Amino acid sequence: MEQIGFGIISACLLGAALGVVTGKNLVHSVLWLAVTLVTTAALYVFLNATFLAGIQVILYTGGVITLMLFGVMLTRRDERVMVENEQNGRRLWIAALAALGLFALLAAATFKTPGLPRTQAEPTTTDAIGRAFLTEHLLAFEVLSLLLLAAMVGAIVLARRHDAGADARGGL
Amino acid sequence: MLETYLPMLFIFVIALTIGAVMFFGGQLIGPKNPTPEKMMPFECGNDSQGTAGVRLNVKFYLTAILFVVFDIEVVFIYPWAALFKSLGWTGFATMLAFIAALLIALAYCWKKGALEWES
Amino acid sequence: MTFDVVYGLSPLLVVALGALLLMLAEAFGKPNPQGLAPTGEVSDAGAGRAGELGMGAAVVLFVGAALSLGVWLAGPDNLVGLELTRPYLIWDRFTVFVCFTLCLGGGLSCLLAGGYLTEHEIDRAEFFPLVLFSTVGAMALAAAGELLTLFVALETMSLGVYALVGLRRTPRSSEAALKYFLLGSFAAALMLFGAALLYGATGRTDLAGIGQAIAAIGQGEGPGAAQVLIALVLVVVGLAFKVSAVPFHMWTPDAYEGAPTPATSYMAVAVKTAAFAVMVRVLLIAFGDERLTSWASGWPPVLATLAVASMTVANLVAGRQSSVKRMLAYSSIAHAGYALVAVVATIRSPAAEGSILFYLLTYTVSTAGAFGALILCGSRGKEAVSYEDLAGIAKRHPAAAMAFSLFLLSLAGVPPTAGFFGKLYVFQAAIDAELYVLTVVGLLNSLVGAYYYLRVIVFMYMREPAPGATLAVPMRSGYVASALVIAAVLVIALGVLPNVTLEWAAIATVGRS
Repeated sequence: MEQIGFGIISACLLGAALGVVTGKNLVHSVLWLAVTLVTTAALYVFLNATFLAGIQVILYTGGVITLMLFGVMLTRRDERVMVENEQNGRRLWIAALAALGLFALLAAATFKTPGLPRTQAEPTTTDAIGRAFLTEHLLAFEVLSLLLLAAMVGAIVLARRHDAGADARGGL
Repeated sequence: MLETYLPMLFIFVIALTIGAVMFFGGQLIGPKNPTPEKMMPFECGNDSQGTAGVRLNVKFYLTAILFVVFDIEVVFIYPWAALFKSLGWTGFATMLAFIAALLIALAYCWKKGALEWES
Repeated sequence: MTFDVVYGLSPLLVVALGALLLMLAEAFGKPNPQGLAPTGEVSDAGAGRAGELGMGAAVVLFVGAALSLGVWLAGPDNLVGLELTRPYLIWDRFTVFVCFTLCLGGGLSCLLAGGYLTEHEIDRAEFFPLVLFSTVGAMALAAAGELLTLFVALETMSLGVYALVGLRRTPRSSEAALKYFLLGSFAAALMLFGAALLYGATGRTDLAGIGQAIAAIGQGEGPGAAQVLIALVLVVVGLAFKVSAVPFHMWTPDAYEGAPTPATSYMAVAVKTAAFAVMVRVLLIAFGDERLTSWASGWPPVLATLAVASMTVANLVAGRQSSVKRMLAYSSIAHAGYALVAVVATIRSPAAEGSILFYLLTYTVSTAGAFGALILCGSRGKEAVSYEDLAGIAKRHPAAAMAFSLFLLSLAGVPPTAGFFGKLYVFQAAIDAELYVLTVVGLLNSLVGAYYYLRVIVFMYMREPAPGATLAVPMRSGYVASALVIAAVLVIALGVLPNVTLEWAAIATVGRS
């Protein structure tokens, strides 16, 4: 039962991921990416990491995909921006080979490593995650708040329009 | 334990089915009698102009990215809420520092006018 | 106990609080009516106050440096409470030394920006909070002894810098920011992947624990070794991106050239210093196992290759640049190569860690000074970027030319400047570790490097500007001048009296097992 479910979800995930990289239209690629992220959330459920699955849907499908769609639409009518997903035959093969090689390498290394949990993992509860963040990884957690602040300041400064003054005059 | 998620699976399947029926049903059973006028994109009686893609204001982007930033903060507050009692005052102080940063962030983008649409 | 922690971490805390305050000051301060340019999207209280805010940021960072010095004198080992932060932040002498260097480099860059942003009328005082946030990340990165903390710190450091690069909205600048962002995130993703594999193979996230687990795998010739090796490769590649070692340097010239010059200076000094610090810690603590540090089956040959490639390629290409800024970018790649030689030397020479720290300090003051002198040589609309712009500047502004020459000589490694001793100790450590080939390659490269540094000096002192060319007029700015004075004093002081600093650097080790 679980095997079948896992198979179906993995197939969906792979199909959607292929859709992302082969789509000719950037908007379609972004939408395929949304499907990819949702199916990844389903995989998390299979790993018993339900909190992570919830976060995945809220943050990635809710936030990041919206952001990406806006980003695409911002540049939509700008001729300078190429939005076609052009594929050159030879490059495609090289990329595919590199990806397959990396996959083979990682798969080999993973299967040779003992002690990996091959059975159902213990459920990672929200409690455990919260406790890890608020006690053990306290310092990382507080640095994280600064990271978010830096991200916000950076976003605001980058989203501003051209300055009326200096930038027009050039220099570098 | 995966049985817990069976209802969710049903919802997905039903949603997909309804969507597919609406999408393809019209094509399958609707009468087709195309005339040139019918084939034109409809835009309030006027001939439509330009392409379908409209270039959005950068404000959309700013709003979206602020949303993501605050969304991430919520994600961290959520597990704290589940542990509120057991972590006690230390947990409270930790979270207070985190929320103080959040407050500064809010004050900052408010003052910068990043939350205002008209300017 | 609490006092120990607060005092020990005070450099970090001061910079973090300073960042918050400066961010609010930038948003809530009274706008300067002259600098208020309507920008449409967001209001600008900080406009036209780049000088004041820059001063504030520099003061915060110099206080951070002074506190690092204080913590050093008190001795981080004596502050018992600091044990509490382990293994997440390892606050030892190594960290404190790096924090001092980071604060110094950041403070100099802020002073430069105070002059630069005002002169070029770039109304983006967000520069300063971003630098401070990034410095907090860099300090945490230098101290990180655990994979999660390490990653969060790395991202905190990088995010601020991505925005700094794109501060100016010229196509050049935006392109630079995009390239740096894409490749930087890619590098971070590779590191994260490596970290995940490490966790999978060892079940630990703290570096010391990973080191022990890897040692255990090694003894049994266990099958987890393959996964550890892949993780090692991924982590090294990620860090090589951050220190911009060849062949992972592709983004560097464009990003350094497109960024506003003070931001370039910050990237070149602080980001590189922090990345080297974490590289040393990760390699020696987590991958410090005997087999992994041996020449036959570990990381030394990989890093040695990177070092040789970085030095050689960067020095050869730097000589062919027509832009001085781009030349300095390649020079920073070459310097990453020299530092990598010392990283390789850590396998056999106990003095190598100290030589890296000393080298990074000399590199920081020389590079920040060189970029500062480049800023000083140009004014609004007439920024000095190419060799031709600098022609004859010695006559128009002898002080600027002299300062520039001093920093270039230091970068080239001419005695008695700081750069000479930096290189000397690196090569000494390499000879100590019996890395003769690397030493010879490094020495040859120093000779090649001298060519393009001296070429700038030749242009400044012996060439006349082409007739009818627009002259780069040196700017007048107390901020830039004071930054140059501080850097120059340090370059000379470290060159004339290197002993004290070197003794200090020598006892600042990461404490490998």
